[in-house]
Amino acid sequence: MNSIYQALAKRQGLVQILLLAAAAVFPLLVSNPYVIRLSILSGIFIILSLSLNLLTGFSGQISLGHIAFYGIGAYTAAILSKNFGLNFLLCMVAAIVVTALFGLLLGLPALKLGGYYLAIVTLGFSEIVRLVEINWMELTNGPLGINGIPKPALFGIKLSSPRAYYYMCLLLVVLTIVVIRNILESRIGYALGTIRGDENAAKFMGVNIFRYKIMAFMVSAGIAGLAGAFFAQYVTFIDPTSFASDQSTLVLIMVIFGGIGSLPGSVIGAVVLTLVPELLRSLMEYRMLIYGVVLVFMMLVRPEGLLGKINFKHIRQRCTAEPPDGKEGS
Amino acid sequence: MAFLEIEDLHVHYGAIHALKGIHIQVEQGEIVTLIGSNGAGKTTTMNTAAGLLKPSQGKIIFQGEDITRFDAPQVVKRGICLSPEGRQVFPELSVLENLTLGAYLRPPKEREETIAVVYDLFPRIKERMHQPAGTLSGGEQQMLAVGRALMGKPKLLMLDEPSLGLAPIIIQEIFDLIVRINQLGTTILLVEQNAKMALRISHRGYVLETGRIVLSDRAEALLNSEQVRAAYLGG
Repeated sequence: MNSIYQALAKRQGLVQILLLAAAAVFPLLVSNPYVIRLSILSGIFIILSLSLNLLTGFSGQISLGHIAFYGIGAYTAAILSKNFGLNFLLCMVAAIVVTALFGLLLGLPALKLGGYYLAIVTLGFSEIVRLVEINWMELTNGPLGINGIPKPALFGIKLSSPRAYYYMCLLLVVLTIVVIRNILESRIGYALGTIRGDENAAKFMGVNIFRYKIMAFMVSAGIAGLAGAFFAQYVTFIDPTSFASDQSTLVLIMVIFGGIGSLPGSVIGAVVLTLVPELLRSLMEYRMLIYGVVLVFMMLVRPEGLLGKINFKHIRQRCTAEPPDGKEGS
Repeated sequence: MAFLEIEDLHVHYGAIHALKGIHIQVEQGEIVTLIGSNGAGKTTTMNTAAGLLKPSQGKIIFQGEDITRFDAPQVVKRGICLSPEGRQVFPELSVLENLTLGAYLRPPKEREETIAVVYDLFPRIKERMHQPAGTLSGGEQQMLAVGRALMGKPKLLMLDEPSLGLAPIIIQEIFDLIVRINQLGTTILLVEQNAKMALRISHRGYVLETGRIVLSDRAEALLNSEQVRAAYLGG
């Protein structure tokens, strides 16, 4: 197993290009709309898992209410595009800004709370958001939901074919990966890592905990909001059931399944756990049972998740540092 | 005015009065040790000086500047670095990343140079620079914690129980290194349960008992004092 990881770590650039190329060619080879739809759904869950992993996996802030941000993003985009006729790109930007502000709001209690207590607060937050979605009839149309959300169009060209949606989703996934990876590889990423590791030790290093915790919440919320905005414009109908807390749990499971603190893990976790229930559809009511068994089995065999605790950067550094033993490896 | 001056410091944990008005002075270039039994307030003193705890009364003055109300990052910026009790290295980050974090507030240009100094002091952690810090032995983690604090180029290095849980031979090594770091020009404030060894390498020492300083003197004098011998040095 170790040699596989080493091989992957050494050829990281190549692996990434091949995966991206495969993802780009995929809809040209497969025209089945059901398959394309599943791919887009996987893409949305990839974005959600990555954003939750930034917050929970890399910064150590447990959130059980991540879907609330997704919902806020979806409602923001839906209302702005339907009631105010805003262009879909502007809707997405607005959704990011609005959810990031809610992220700021939820980040404030996180400055005092940690662990289980923060988990409860985030759960409460997501319930409040859901209740507002159900009860604020004038804004959200309550349990009836908002339908007829305009489909995206650019310069008068409708971007509503399954393929157009697929490429848009792929672009958003790539964008999310690039943004999160740049954050993690900068000073900010180190700062977030120290906050997860040990807040007191982080303070001894001179890390401004206040700033980075708030930032983690805002960026993570903003990205989830972006996913929500895309979802709203893709399905063109949203109602509160899409943003219930079981969905938060689902995203958290994807992150844990793929490996806490692993970006490739989140991608794999999201894809596998979106596809498994679909592949098992023929088994009817037994499928959720099997889904559960898969999860339990996974936790028994690899409790740290598929790629948890596997740091490709360290593996690569060790590979390149070892051969010329004794010489400077940096 | 001394390099570091702690005046009439009181610290409360809720209703518990942990420090009851202590005075400590550290002169530039010294090694000063705080000794005392469990619960005497040694770590509390360190953590308050590092800006983690806020005193209810008293002053901390570093190089003529009142830093009593500063938070931890500001204290680090002034040149006081703490290597905390129980090491607290980041286990999932590599040795190199842990060290880099120690220089978090320093200009990146200096980093290579400071890392070279640290590797020179601790060749054993250099060999392991790309390993997760959690895979190091206890002694190596302690060296990493001290090295990480040095990465901040401190004027005053505070070491909280650097010998905790280590084998005697490693403890000797750590204490030799503390002397070397001091000779390179860093002032050191040391907290130790291992009073005999700590006093041997120190210039001066303070004895803390339940939040009060009961004795302060040159280290040699403390080593020979009947009172200290009986209470802390095992007869």
